[in-house]
Amino acid sequence: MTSPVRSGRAPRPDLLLPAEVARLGGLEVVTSGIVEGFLAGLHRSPRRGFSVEFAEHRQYQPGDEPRYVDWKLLGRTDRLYVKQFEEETNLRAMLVLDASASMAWSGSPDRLTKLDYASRLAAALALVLVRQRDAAGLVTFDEQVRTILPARARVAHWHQLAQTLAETRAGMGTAAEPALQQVVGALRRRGMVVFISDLLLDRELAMKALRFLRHRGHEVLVLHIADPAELTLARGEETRFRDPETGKAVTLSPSEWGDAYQRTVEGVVRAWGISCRAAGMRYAVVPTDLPFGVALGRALGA
Amino acid sequence: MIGFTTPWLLFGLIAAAIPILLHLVQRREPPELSFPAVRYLEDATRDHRRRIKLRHLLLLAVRTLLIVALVLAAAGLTVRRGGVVRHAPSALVLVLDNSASSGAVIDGVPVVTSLVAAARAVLARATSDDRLWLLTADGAVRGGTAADLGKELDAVGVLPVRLDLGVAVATGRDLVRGAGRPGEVVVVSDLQRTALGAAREGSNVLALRPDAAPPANRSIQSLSTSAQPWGTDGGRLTFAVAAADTVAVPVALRIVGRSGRDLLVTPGVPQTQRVSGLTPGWLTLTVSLPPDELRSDDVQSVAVRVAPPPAVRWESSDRFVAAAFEVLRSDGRVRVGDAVRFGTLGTGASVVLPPEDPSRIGAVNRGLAARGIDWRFGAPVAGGERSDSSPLLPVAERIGRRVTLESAGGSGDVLATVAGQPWLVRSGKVLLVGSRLDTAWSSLPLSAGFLPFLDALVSRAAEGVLTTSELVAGAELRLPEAVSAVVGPAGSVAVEGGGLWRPRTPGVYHLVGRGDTLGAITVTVDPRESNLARAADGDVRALWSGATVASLTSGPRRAFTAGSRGDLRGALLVLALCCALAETGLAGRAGRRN
Repeated sequence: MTSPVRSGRAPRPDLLLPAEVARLGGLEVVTSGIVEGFLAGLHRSPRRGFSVEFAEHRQYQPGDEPRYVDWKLLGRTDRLYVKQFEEETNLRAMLVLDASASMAWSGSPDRLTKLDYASRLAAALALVLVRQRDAAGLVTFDEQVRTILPARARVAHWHQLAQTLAETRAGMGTAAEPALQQVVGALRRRGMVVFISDLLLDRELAMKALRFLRHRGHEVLVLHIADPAELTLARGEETRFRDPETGKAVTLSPSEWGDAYQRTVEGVVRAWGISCRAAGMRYAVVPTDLPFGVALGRALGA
Repeated sequence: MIGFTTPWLLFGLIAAAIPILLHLVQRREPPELSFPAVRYLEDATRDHRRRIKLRHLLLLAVRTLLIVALVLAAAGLTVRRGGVVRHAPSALVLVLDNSASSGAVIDGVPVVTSLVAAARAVLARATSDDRLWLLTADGAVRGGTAADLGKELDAVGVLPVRLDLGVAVATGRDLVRGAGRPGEVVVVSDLQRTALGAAREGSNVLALRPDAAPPANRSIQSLSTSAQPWGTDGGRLTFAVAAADTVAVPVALRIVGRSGRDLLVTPGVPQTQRVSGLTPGWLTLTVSLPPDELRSDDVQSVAVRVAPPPAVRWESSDRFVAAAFEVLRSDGRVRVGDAVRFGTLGTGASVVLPPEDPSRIGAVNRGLAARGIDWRFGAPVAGGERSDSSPLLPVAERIGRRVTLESAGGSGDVLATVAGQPWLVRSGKVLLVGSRLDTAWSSLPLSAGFLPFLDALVSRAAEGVLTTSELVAGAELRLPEAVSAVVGPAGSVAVEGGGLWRPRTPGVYHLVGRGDTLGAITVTVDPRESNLARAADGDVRALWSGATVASLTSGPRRAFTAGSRGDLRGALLVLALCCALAETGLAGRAGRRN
C-alpha cells in the first residue's frame, strides 16, 4: 500500500502508512503528530455535544461542596443550585486494549504488529479526547487485567497513558470479560468504552460483557484490529499454522483453502458487526495497514 | 486365468507407485508458521476438510488406476473367457517340423505321422473366421482355410533338410502380428535340441512334442576323399560314424556298380580306406550303416573323379611355382606336357598370371582378345588386402599386389575374389589370376594351401571341371555359368547357369555343361539332424518367451487360446480414459477452489 500523501506537500502523519509513521519517533511524538494532522483535517470538533463550554446546574444535595454553590442563582431564585463542572459534563472514555499474545503478530515485517498499531491508535484517540477536554482512561489486559488508568482530562495524564501504552508488552492468553468488568467500576457515570482487540476471543463471552456496558448506558465502540494477512490468506504450499496464543496448529494448503478462509473471515466480521449493531454498539474493522487518520475517523465516526 | 501378451511390460507397474510416493512425499512435515487466526482456519476447514481429504484419496486412487490400466493395456492383459466354446477370430501359424529328424520311427510309427496327426487336430479346432498358415521344413508358407491346409498336410512327408525352429517361430510371429488379431504360433515338432533357436518377442507359442523319448541313432558323421581327381591307382576315403555309444558297428563301403567291402567301425573314430583299381571317369562311393530308427543319415555318398594327371608346362623362372609343380610332379599329381600352360597364355588350357612388367599388360590383353577370352587384366592395385573364402581358396591369404580383372562383356566364372573384386576368373579353358604367385605379390606361395591350389587349378579348373564340393540338403548354391543341367538321384534337371540351385534330396549330383560333366556336388543331410536329443521344456520356454509346451496328443486342444481369451486392452484403455477424465474433473474442481 502506498502512502496517500501527495508528493510536493508536507506529509500529514495521520495519512501516512502506519509503519512509516512509527518510524518517525516515539509513541507520544508520533501520536501528537497524528492527532494534529487529524484535527487539522476535520475543520470541526469530532465530538459535538461535548463542548468544553457546556455547564448545567443541579439542585443542591446534602454533602455537596459549598464552594460549588451558585450564589448568584440563589440570589435570583432563592434556591440552592450547584454548578456542574466541566469535567463532570465532558465525555469519559475508557480505552480497553487487548494485549494478548495474538496481538503481538504481524504478517509482514513492513507492517506494525497489531499491538503496536492498537497502542498508537489508542494513544491518538486518548489525545483527541484530551484535546477536547474529555477524559480518557486505559485498561490493558491479556489473560488478566494488566493496567488500569482512570479517565482524566489532563494533558499530563495523557502523557502517563501514552507512556503506559509504550511500555505495554504482549502477554499470553485473552480474557476480555474481567477487563470489561473493570471498566464498569472505572466508569461510574455514563461514558464511552473503546474496545480495541483483534477479537480472537470468545465472541459470546465478550459480547455479554460489552452488552452489560451498553446496558449501563455507556457508548461502546469495538475496533477490530486485523493484520491484512489475517483477512486474506496468502497463497502458498502446505503449511502448519500455529496459534502463538493457544499453541493449536492446523496444517493445510493456503492455495486450496484461501477462498474458504476468506469466506470465514467475512462471516466473522459480519457476525461481529451484526451483534454490535443489534446491541447499539459501533463496530469497525481496522487493518493494520490503514493510516491512523482514517482509523481515527472510523473510531470517532468523523 | 489371466495372461499377458508382453508380460515384461508389467515392470511398468512400478510406475503406479509414483502417485502414492508423491502423496507420501507431500505428506512430509510442512513448514510451520505462527498465525494467530488459526481458529478461522479451523472454522474454514471444519466443514470441508473431510471432503477434501476424500477427494485427495480419490485423486490418488484414480491416478494410480490410470497408470495401472495403461501398463496392463501395454502388457496385453487377457483373460480366459468363461463358457465360450468358439474362440474369437484368430490368427494361427502352424509350424510343422517335417525335417529329416522327423523320419525317425518311434514305436513303429514315424514321428512325422504323429506330427501330422497333431497338426490335423489343431486345424480341427479352427473356424472359418480364423486366418491360418502352414509353415514346413522347406521354408514354404502356405495360407488358407483349415480344409486347404488339411490337403497340404496330405502331401507332407519327411524332408531331408534342417528346420531352424527359432527362425520358423519368428516368421510365425511376424505373420500373426501382421494379421492384426489375437493369434499364436503352434510348433508341432520333435523339438530337437539342435533345431532350437531364439525367436524375438511376439505372440504366444504352443509347442507340441512327442511324449515318447527320441530313439538312439547312428549316422555317417562325415565322408571325404583325398585330393581329386584321383589317378587310376585310386585315392583315400575317410569317414566317421556318430553314435550315442562306442559299440563298433558294421559299415558297408561300396563303389556304385562294383562290389565293395564291409568294415567294423568304432563310432567317433575316423576311418581311412584306400580305394584302388579305378578307371578314368566319375565314380560314386557310398558308405552305409545298418538301418536304424532314422534312415536318412545311414547312407552317404561322395563323387570321385578319376583321371590321369594333367600335362603342365610351367615357367621355370617363377621359382615358387616351379618348386611347387616339382613337388606335385614327384607326387604323381601332374606331369610335364603341353596340355595346360601355366603362367602365360598358350594355345590350349592356360593359367595366365599378370606380367611382372605392367607395360606388358596391353600385349597380354591383346593375346586374350585374340583367343576370344572374356576377361582382361586391368590396373594394378596395391594394398594389404585379403582373399575372400572360396572353394579354391578356403583360407584367406594376404594379397599385397594385384591387377584388376575386367570382364570384356562375355560370360565367365569368377572362382575367387579379393575384397569382393574378381581375382581368379575363368573363360573357357583359360584362367586369369589377379596376382603373380610370388611372395612380392601374395602370401599364398608360402602357405599350406599353395600346392592344393595349384593342383586344383591345373587338374580341374583349367580343364573346365569344377571342384567337387559338399552341400547340405536345403542349402542354396549359385551354379557356374557353364552348367546347363544337373543329374542327380531323380534324373537330369535342366538348370540356368549362374542361377541359384537348392537340392533337397541327399545324393550325388553331377553338373553338366558343354556336353561334358563339369563337376559333382555331394548333397548330405545336415549332421545336426542326426542328433535326436530333445530340448528340455524349460529351454523351450526360455527361448520363446511365454511358450507353452505340451504333448502331441493332449496339446492340440490348447490351440487358439489367444482367441479364447478376452483381450482386455480396449477395456483397459477405456478405463484409462475414464480415469483421465475423472482426474481432470477432480483436479479441476480442486483448482477452482483456489
